[in-house]
Amino acid sequence: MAVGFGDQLAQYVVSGLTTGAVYALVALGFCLIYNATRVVNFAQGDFLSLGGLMAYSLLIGAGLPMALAFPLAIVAVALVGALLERLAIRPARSRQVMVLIFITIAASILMRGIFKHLWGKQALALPPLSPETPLHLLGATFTPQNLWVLAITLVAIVALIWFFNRTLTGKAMRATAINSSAAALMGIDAHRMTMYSFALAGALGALAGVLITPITSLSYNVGVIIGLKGFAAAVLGGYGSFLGAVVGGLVLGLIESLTAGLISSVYKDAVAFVVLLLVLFLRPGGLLGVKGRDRV
Amino acid sequence: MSALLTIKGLSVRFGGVQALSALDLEAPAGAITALIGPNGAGKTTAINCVSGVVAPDAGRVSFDGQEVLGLAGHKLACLGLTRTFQNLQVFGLMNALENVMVGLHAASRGGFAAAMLRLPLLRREEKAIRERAEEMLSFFGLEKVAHQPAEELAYGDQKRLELARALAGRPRLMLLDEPVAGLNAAETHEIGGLIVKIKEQGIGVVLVEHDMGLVMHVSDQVAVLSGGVLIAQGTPEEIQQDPEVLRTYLGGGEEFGLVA
Amino acid sequence: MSAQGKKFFGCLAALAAVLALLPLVVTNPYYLNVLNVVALNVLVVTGLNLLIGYAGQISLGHAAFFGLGAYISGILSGSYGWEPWTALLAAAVVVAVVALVIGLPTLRLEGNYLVMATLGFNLIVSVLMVQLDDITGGPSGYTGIPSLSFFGAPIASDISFYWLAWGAVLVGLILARNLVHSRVGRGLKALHEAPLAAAASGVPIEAYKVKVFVISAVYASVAGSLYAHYYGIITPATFDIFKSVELVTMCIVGGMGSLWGGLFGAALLTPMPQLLAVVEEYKDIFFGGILLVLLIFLPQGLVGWLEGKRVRPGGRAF
Repeated sequence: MAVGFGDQLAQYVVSGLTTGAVYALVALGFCLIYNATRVVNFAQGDFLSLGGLMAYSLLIGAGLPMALAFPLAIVAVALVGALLERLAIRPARSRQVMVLIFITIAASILMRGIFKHLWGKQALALPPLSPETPLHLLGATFTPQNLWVLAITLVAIVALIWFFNRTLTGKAMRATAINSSAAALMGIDAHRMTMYSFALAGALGALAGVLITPITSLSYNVGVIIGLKGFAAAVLGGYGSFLGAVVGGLVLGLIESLTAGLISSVYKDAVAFVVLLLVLFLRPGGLLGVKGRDRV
Repeated sequence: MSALLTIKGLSVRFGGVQALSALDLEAPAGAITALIGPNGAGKTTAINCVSGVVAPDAGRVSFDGQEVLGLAGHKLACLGLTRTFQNLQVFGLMNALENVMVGLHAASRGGFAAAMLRLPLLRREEKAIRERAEEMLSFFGLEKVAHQPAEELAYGDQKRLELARALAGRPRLMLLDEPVAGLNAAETHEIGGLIVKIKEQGIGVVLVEHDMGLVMHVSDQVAVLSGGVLIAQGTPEEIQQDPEVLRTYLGGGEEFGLVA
Repeated sequence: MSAQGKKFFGCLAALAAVLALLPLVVTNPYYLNVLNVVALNVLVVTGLNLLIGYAGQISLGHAAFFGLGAYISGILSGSYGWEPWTALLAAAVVVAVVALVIGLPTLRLEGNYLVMATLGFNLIVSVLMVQLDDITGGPSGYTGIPSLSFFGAPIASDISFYWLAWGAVLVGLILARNLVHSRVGRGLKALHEAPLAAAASGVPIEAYKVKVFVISAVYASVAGSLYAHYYGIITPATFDIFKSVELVTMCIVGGMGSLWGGLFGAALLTPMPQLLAVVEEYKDIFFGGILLVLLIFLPQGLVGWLEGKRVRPGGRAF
């Protein structure tokens, strides 16, 4: 059956936006932790893996209904994120960013080891949120999961915006990120705000995992590459910027999908990193032109 | 005396704040030109522009006839323009001697290849650098702490270390950003004396300071900034009687009589 | 020579003596092989320590430079008949240019952009090594790399390579040490601690950072070429992002910026995969756990700790 070019294009756009939404969620996780601590959290991808793995255990292992299993998984990973801050970042004797970044890398290795031990190395199948009856719209064939991913990501983003602008905790977190000493003088516990950032990043990573692994497959290290691509997305949009994370994620998803479809799928995995390098070389502030925060 | 450093029409805007508005200033060699004003007046911003830390929105800066705006920061030391920092920027882990030796970086040449292969050129230079650095430490009374890590030195010593580092390479003009901030009267007096000695060697000094006693005592010319605008310029005596200055800054003048 | 210099060359002489005597005791080719791999890792880590310790930047792409050194030298001599030493030199030049291309734009930015760029670079190189299979042999690797030779005699045995590799290490350590204890080294330390003051003193901070990065890449390239000509076979899996992490880990465990620390870290961590293979199951947990504990409580590294270095809280971070 000959598929028209327009239809193919629509297809690539749909799948691109889907993965793009997931990249956006991961990128937001990076953004949160970076803003709170200036640290690149290399365990972000592992939050994604853990989200999928926990959801699997709760759903298939414990037999919980999906409506319970998935949110619980997200909460569990949020706790893990908080633990990461509390046990690995906060007690660190050196506050140099380089060392802290490496602590997240070590934590990532440790976490993956634990995942491998608990869930094994084989691929697992996490079911999609609803039955996979293909839908057709504007020439593209896609599944309900694509819609779920986009819809839930949108809800998550709106929820985050509301949280940071309308709740006291959210505003406190923003204040701490901007100036932790001033925030402390206002009675805000900077350490606790940082912990919340990690918890939120964990939740976002887990959400991404729960949404994407039904499409891609689930295993103990599925989050590694997705995490790195989410990072590339954050840089593409403008590292450290909330809007940049979202824009970067969607744009990267599209670029990846279109490149794989129109040019060659063989180099698909390299696309994100070529984009990363190009951004760093040509426009380090990303699409949104974010300026560096370092001051004299 | 012709001007060594000439600033013309320097303007800087940070977000919503006009930090500097069309500043004109000249600093000759062998003289001390003070830049004073309330906090936020733009004094450090002016220094940062001249030393290449901040890029201004408009204006020109020339040093010894050469345009220096837009030059990479490190080139200024080679031209003979050095500075100290308001918030101490000593190299904490290195000892005092090494800190001053870094000050001679512009005055020496050996590069990576020469260093890795330990060529004779480098070894000769190193000897000269070390000797000059030791001379500087003596001049500033820091010989005793030569081998102590800079971050362990007393605050006053660290302030003097920055001066030593800036002077080591035999500059022609030094930008001093609050060199006596946080020092007591005796230390201030000592540093004042050293600054005068520096000037007497023919080196130009631009002095940003809040300590009016020091400023009025050592300066040849005083420029007053307020809200990014130059409101007065003249000798210390003229400035102390300038009504505009008295109104906005010195607050009447009684407490700022001639202090020795 | 200064007291520090005497101490360094004293230790170096001691190391040389130990290295000279070791083959008398260690004759098992398996252990010699391990020592050879340690040597190559030390070479890479020495260059990496210059970057980390003196330019204050971390690279997560040194496995890629190592790999490029291996593949370029291997392919030039294997497929195109180049003389291996010439191929090694050519690989080093190419890698230097690549490092320049990556370093120039990223090192002029403030912050840890180099981590990101080198990470992306390594991932791209990994993909290329696999996908350009006409040239590289693809995932199963490239074979038939000739050995290096010394005045006509091929350096093919474990013991002959041992001398070459550790000889290279000694030379590498001396060159690095010379750099560190020079005007340039001072400038590098200065730019790491207070970049504005360093620039105000005449240190060309961008140029220096880029040069250190290029030198560290060349160290890795040379080590990679030696690796290729030793084993005769190379596969892409050896040069992936995890190897880059391992290399930086060696620097950190020993003590960032410490040349002896790098030696120690490499010597300690290189045999570990073999030792831990016994408990393959728990390898990552063990490795990750130890690394985590070290980083949290002993960030100055083991050698740093032994040297009595205090922990610098450092940075403004948060």
